[in-house]
Amino acid sequence: MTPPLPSSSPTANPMTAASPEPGFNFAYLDEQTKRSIRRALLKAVAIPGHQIPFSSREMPMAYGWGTGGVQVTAAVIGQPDTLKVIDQGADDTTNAVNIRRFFQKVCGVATTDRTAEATLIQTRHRIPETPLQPGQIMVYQVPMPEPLFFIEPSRTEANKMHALEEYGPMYVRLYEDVTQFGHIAMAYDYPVMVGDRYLMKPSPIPRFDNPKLHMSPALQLFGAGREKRIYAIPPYTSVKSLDFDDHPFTVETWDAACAFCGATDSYLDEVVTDDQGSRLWICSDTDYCHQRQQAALSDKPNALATPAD
Amino acid sequence: MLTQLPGFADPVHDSQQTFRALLDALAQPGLYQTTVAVAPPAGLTPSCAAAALTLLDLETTVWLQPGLPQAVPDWLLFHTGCQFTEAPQAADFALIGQMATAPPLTAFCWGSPEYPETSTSLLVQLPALPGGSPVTLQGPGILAERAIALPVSHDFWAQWQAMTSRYPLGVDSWWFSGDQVLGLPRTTRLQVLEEEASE
Repeated sequence: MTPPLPSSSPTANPMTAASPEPGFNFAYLDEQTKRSIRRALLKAVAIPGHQIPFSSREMPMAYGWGTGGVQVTAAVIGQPDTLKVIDQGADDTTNAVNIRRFFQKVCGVATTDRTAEATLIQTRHRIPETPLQPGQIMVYQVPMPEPLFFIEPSRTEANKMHALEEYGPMYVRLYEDVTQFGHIAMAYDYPVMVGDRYLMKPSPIPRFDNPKLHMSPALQLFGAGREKRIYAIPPYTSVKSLDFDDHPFTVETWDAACAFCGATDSYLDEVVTDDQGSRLWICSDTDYCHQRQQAALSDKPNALATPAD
Repeated sequence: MLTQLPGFADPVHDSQQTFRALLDALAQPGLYQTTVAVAPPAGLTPSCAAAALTLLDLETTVWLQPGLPQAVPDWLLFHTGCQFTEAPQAADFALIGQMATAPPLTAFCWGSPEYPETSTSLLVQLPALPGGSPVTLQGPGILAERAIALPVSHDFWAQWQAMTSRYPLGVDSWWFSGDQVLGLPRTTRLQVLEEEASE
């Protein structure tokens, strides 16, 4: 029995710019709000990894759906931009489709699935596999920006700890994992040190993506809507994942290759295909997977046993 | 009458474009970016006038360097409604006409250890870019190092170097000439500050 496979090609063609719907200011937010978010963004870039409070607005979507990222994107986006939105690496999931449609509606900007063609990439919980380019801007949706929150719930005290670089308790937190499990067991939102100064949560990206934060040529902006915080990593900034000399930082590895494109270097999602326990592994980054399938097909037609588009 | 000079022709997109230039300037310190040019009042360069329209509003407090023409506060007040202060320490933004006669960097607010973002940002007018003796910059946004030249004194660079040792405290600055802007955030360190033999 052949299980029905999910399509790996979310939307075939890049969507070109159209005129925005009347009745909204460009990018939905009013100009006063954009200015205050922009001032916060500029401070955030000047102090990498430090969280800047901002006057987060109610957006036409619920907290937890990326209101922080949407506000950052709205403050940054302009008519010449090409927007890509991903959710867990995929361009075709609910969150990504809705946010992309939102910006098409209120900005009329061009959108794309291709990482290489995008000037602005809003992401929930992944960094694309295709290396980012200078000039690109990544916008991350952040649920909880404060890395010390589960250690010190008071924001005032946590600010003091940041001011004093008092990050020992976070190392204790990691050490507790080592004593309990024999290794650091944080799989996502793995804490990083930005520019050798600020402890930062990289948003719930898998540990696999942490090395991509380091010395990235792209500008990386982080927005937390409910928590009303903005922070940033400028291009070419050192971002070090916390670890110990005898327990160095490692990323996830898989015994399998992607069932669609055969990639062994990308982050793989497990997909349960029936109720008999069958499963397969596919790339989480749908654009990367699709590009690889296209390349393989143009090299050798019929080489891949993939479902027809 | 406050002013007869217009602001942005297209406030929404011109301010967005100028913001991206200011953002890129801070994200890539020492590289020139192009803003939208507006017809500036006497005393401001077109790029600085565009930056003022992009950054300032009712919520911001501005310190003007004494000696700037009255046309500057008139124009800013009409177009942005910003507040003015006499005290550099109290300013969110400081508008500087001539760096040579400006107060030392320590006169401005550097923020507090808990809230370094409460610092003053400097908007500096330059007669021409480039000029002055070259310095080599390092820090976030710069892959290895970047050489720039700004028409400022050796003393200014010494002040800047002293300030960067106090990171995260410090001021961020934009330097304007014509329709160009160059950014120096507090993270940008001088690689070596060479003694100028002639001085």
